[in-house]
Amino acid sequence: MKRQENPLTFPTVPLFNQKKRSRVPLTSAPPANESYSFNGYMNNSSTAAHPPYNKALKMGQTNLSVRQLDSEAGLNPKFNQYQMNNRNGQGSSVPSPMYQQPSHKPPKAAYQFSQQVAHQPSPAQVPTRPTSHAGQQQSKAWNFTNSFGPQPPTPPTFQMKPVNEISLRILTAVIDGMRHWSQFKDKAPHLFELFGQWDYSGLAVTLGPHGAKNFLIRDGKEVSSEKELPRLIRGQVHRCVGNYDRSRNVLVCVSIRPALPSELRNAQEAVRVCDAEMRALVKTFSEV
Amino acid sequence: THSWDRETIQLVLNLMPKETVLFIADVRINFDTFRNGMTATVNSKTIITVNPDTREASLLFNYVKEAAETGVLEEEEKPEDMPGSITDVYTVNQLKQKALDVPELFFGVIYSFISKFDVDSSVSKVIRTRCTKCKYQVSDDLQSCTNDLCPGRGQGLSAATGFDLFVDLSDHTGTLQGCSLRSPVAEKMLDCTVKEFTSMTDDERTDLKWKYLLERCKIYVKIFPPSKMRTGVKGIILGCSLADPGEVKYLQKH
Repeated sequence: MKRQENPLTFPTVPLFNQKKRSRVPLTSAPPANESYSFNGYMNNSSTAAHPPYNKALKMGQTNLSVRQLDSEAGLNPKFNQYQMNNRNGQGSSVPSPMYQQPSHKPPKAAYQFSQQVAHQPSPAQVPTRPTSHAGQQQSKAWNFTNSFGPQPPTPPTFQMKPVNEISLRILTAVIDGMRHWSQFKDKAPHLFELFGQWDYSGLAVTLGPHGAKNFLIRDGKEVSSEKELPRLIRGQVHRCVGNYDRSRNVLVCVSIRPALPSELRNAQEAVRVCDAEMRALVKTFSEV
Repeated sequence: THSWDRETIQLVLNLMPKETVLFIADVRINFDTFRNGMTATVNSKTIITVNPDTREASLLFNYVKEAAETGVLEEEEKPEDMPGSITDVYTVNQLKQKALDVPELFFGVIYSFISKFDVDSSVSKVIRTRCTKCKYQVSDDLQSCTNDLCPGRGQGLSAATGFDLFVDLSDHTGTLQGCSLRSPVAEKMLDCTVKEFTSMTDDERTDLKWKYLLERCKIYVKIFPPSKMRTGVKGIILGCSLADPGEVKYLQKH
């Protein structure tokens, strides 16, 4: 790029006395006690503003015991795709270990990314751990470099090994799916989005022979301070998002509202996609 | 800074912007009419020291690192940021994976839930005032910026107040934590000005939160890959609206 000579160039102002200044660049390593490291900064920055995901659950918790109705009372009969796999199941105590859907193959292309990830067990997996990229901590100390002489290309000091994704997932599911995937909560923390019909005794979700007592618990204090529960209309389909407690067969909801028709129409696709994702993920657990 | 010297050019090309402090001695400073600004030109007398071990360098490094963490340095509204032109759809995991594979910023659309959206926490955590020169957070009753390294230090404070919060985005593949939601994107999304927001009651803010929290949204994002200055992927929200369930796309072409 051609540099234009500017007749109005300002005279060079010596920044300091040239005679006294040493022309030796700062190449010598200073004594350790003089160097400035960033430990103070590093201690704060890595924890930033990321509280664990379960903070969201503390607000407005409503417990729903999940029950399955006969399919006649049902929503979309296509939700039966789990029913056929669990026909022989006895209640909710033994979820089927292999969650097969022989009639359905997920499109491979969309999920190839989950196979590409090299799966290594992350150390100390805790559901509340923030995104796993912090696994490799590079040296944060102030690096003093020699500016003269040949500079070797700096190798990247951070290494991002692909690890099993352990950040929170939100899965659309049906009851059986929820019961099945919740087994893996430790390795893959998640919330469920569920569609169900409100009936006399509480929220019921259609399909499947499983019977479980169905009741609604309001955690009065938290619900009233956070959000008013919407008037739940009997017979209307509602959408819930929450955490499934396997031991009590209760869905602890943080969000309930009437479902939109467009949501119901698309719920099946959502369930299919989530199942495929979880199936691929669970497969990697057993490969380790 | 300009240089016509091959060795210097080589040196500078290898340095990572925003990760390197330079101490430059004996550089010629001119007003460049072509660029309409002051420019520094390296000549044979110039000495460049990379990452000098001085207190000032340390402060500067810290400042830039913090700015990188919060994403303030990286935000410039450019025409290509406008959502109309962003069409590549990703899942959360695909976004993260791409950011690891390709170390440069990119744009995308995700259909995901908002899993953390604390608009009803204290207003000071939602609306912040920043110095316009250095982006440091300040309180607007100050006379001048508290940042020692602010280019506007010594002048009166020039500050801007706006939405400035972090949200988490979750789908069936994972969560992208700490995405920046700032003005003016936030105003469009929340459909209110900063002033209107500040005058809301707590209940109104809570309602606003639940309009989006754990709901499916269509979100345009700008993604910054990890760098030496910041581990983890950083997302900035360019646009956010509740998704029409019929248009939610689960299949991506990547």
